[in-house]
Amino acid sequence: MKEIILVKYGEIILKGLNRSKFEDLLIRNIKKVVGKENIASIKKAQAVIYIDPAPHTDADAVVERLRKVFGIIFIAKAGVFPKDMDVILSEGADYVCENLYGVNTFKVEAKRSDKKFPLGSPEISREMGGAILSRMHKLKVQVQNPEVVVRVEIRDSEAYVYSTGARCAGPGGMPTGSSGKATILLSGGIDSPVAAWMIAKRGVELDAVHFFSPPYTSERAKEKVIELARIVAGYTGRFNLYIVPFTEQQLAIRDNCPEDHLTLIMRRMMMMTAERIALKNNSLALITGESLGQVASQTIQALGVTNEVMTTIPVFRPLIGMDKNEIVDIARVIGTFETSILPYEDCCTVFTPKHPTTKPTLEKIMKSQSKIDMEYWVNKAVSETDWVLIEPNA
Amino acid sequence: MIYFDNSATTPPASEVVETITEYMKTSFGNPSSRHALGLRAEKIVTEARKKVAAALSCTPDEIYFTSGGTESDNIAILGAANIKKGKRIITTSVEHPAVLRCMDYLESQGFQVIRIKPQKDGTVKFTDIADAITPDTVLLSIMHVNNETGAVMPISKIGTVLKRIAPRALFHVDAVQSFGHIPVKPVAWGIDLLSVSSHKIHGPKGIGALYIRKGVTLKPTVFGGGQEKNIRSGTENVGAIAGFGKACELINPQDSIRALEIKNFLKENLLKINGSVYNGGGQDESPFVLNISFGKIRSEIMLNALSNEGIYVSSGSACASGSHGSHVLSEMNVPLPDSAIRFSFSRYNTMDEAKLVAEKVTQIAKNLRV
Repeated sequence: MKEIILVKYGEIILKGLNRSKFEDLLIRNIKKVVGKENIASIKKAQAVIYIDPAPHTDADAVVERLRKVFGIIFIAKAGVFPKDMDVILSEGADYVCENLYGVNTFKVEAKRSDKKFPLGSPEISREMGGAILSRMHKLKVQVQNPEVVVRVEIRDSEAYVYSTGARCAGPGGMPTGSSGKATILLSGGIDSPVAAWMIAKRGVELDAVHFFSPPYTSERAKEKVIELARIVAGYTGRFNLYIVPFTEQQLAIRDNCPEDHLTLIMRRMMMMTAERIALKNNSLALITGESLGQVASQTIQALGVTNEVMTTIPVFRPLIGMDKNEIVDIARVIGTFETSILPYEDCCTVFTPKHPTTKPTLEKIMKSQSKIDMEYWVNKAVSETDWVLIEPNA
Repeated sequence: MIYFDNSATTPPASEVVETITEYMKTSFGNPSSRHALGLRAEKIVTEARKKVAAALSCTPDEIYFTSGGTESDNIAILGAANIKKGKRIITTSVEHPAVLRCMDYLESQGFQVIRIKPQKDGTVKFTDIADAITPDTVLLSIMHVNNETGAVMPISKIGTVLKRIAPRALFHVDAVQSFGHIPVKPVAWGIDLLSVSSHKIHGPKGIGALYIRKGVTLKPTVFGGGQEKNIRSGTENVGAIAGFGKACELINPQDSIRALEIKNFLKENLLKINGSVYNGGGQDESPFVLNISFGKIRSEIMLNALSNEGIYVSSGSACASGSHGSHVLSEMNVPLPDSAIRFSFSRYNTMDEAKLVAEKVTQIAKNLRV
C-alpha cells in the first residue's frame, strides 16, 4: 500500500497577495530538509502540501524531519486507496485501525472534492465509523471532543485515509528565510539556544556569535557551543558561527575596571563586538537569551546600560518575560537541554565578580569603562574573529 | 605532545599493537569453537593467561579475564558479598567509584558498610583498618595505590589480621593503579581477590583481569555461555587478551626508577611556584603519580592552558573531572582541592619532558593572574 504525507501550514494562510511566495518558500525548505532524493513528488492544493515519498524512502523518517520545519502546523501520514468505497471500508479501515489501539474515543470526518463520488460526506463518515467499530470493540464514537479524528478525503484520482492526534503537531511559525537575518549571541547555557530557536521560528535566518576565552574556557566548552548550534541548525538549516577570542579583553577589563562593574562592561563590549559582526554580515538584529531579573546583569537597569551601546540595529530578547522553568521546557522540546547542562565553563561564568552591581547607572558604568580603550578592544576582537559553518546534525 | 596523564590511560606499546593486529588478521577464531581456528584462539588466551599470572606471581588458573578494572571490582565485591553470611563490609572513603558505587548498592541491600577515612597524606592508617575488623566481617576491599594522589595503602599487612579475626572474610584489593608499577604479590599478602586493568600498563582498553585465589568461590554476576569458569560469561576478547598478555610481558621494574626521577624533579621545581601545595606526603607513594595544587588557579584553567601547549595532565581523576570535584582530595581535607593538578607518568616519559613541563607550568602560573 502506498502512503503519502500531508502537511498543513499555519499563519501563511493569513498572508494576502504574497501568500504563494510564502508557500513556495515553505516547499523549498521542505525539499531542503527532507532531501530531494527522498521526494517523488510534492504539490499544494487548498492550503495542504502533499508529499509523495520516493519508493525506498522511510515515510516515518520524513515525518520526523518535517517536525522541525518552521511554518508547518500539522503533519500526517495517509494511506492512499482507489476511489472504491468497498476498498476504503476494508483496506482503509484496516490501515487506520493500526493507529487506534489504546484510544478510547474517535469520530470520522469525510471530505470529497470529487462531487461525482456516489456517496456524500455524511454517508462516508457513517460507513467508515461502522467499519472501524466492527474492528475495534472497545472504541466509542464521540462527536464533541474525540481523542482521535479519522479523516477520509476523496480526491480527484484517489482517496486518502488517516488519523490525527497530538503527534501530528508541527513547530508552527513562519518559513525560514521569510523574515531576513539576525545574529544570536550563543553562550553555551540553556537560554541562548532557546532564544535562537524562538526567533528562527518567526522565519528569521540565523548567524551566531560565540565569545571564547582560552584557557579560562576549554576547547570542550567551544565544542559544546558548536554542538548546540548544530541542534538549532536542525530547524533553520546551516548557518555561520563566528567565534570571537575574548581572553585579552576580559583580562583588560578585570585589571583596569572596578570589580562590581566587570560583568556589565564585558557585556557592553560583547554587544558592541556582536553588532559590528552582524553589520558586516548583513544581519538585521541581535538576539540574546536575556530574561528579566534572572541574574545581576539582567535587571532592567543592567539591560538598559547594556543596550545603550547599540547604535543601529535592534536587540531581540524573546525570553525576556519567561521563567527559567518555561525556558527549560522549550529547551527539552527542541533538544538542546541535555547538551546545555554539560558542565564546562562558559564565557559568562569566568571573571564573575562576587558582588556585581544590580542597579547600575549609565554614568557610573561609563566612568568605569573609560579606564580602558573600548574601541581598541572591540576592533581587535572583530579582526581576530574566526568562523565555522554549522551544518545540521544528520 | 607531552602526555602526563598516564593514570587515566597509557599509550599502547607498539609491541602490543602488533600483537593485536596479528590476531585480528590471522587467528580471529572463537576459543569455544572446536575447529583448528578455535583452538588457535584458545591457545592465545592460554598463553596470555600465563603472562598475566607471571606478572602477579600466581598460577594461571587464578586469573579470570574481565572487561577491565571496573568489572573486576564489581564481580569481586558483589560476588563476595552475596556468598558470605554476614553483613559487615569494610572499605575506605577514597576508593575508585567502581568500588564506592558497589558499596552504595550493597548498603541499599542491607549491608553495613564501614568507610575508613584517609589521613592528611592520603594514606589510610593500618591500625584504623585493623580496629574496624570484627568476627562478622564478610569482606574487606581496599585499593593498593590511590589513582589521584599515588598514596600507597598498607595492604601487605592487612591479610593476616583479617584472617585472624574474621577467618571467613574475603580480602579484595583494587590494584589497578599499582599493577605493573610497584610489586603486587597477592599470594604472599594473603589477598583473595585482586583487580587489574590492561590499559594502565600500555595494553588495550576493554580488558582486565580478576585474580581469584585458589579455593575461593564467588557467586557469578554475569550469566551466559560459561566462559572464564562461569565467572565472566561472554566470548573472550581474544585480541585484547593477547595484547594484555604482551603488556604484562613488557613490565619492567626499571620503569619505576625513571618515573621516580621525573616525579622528584617536577615536585621540587613545581613547589617553588608561589602558593603551590603538595597533595600527599605519605611514607610510601607511587613514583608514577604527583598531585599539586597551584594557589588559586582553578584546575580546569591550568589544564586548558597546558592543553593549549600540547601538555596533557588531569584535574583529579579523569572519570570525575568536569562533573564535580575530587572526593579523594575532599576526604583528605587538602587546603586547595579546586586547583589540584595530577601529573602521572609512564615508561615513555623523559626528563626532557619533565623540564619543559616544569618551565611551562611556572610560566603559566605567572601569566594566569587570578
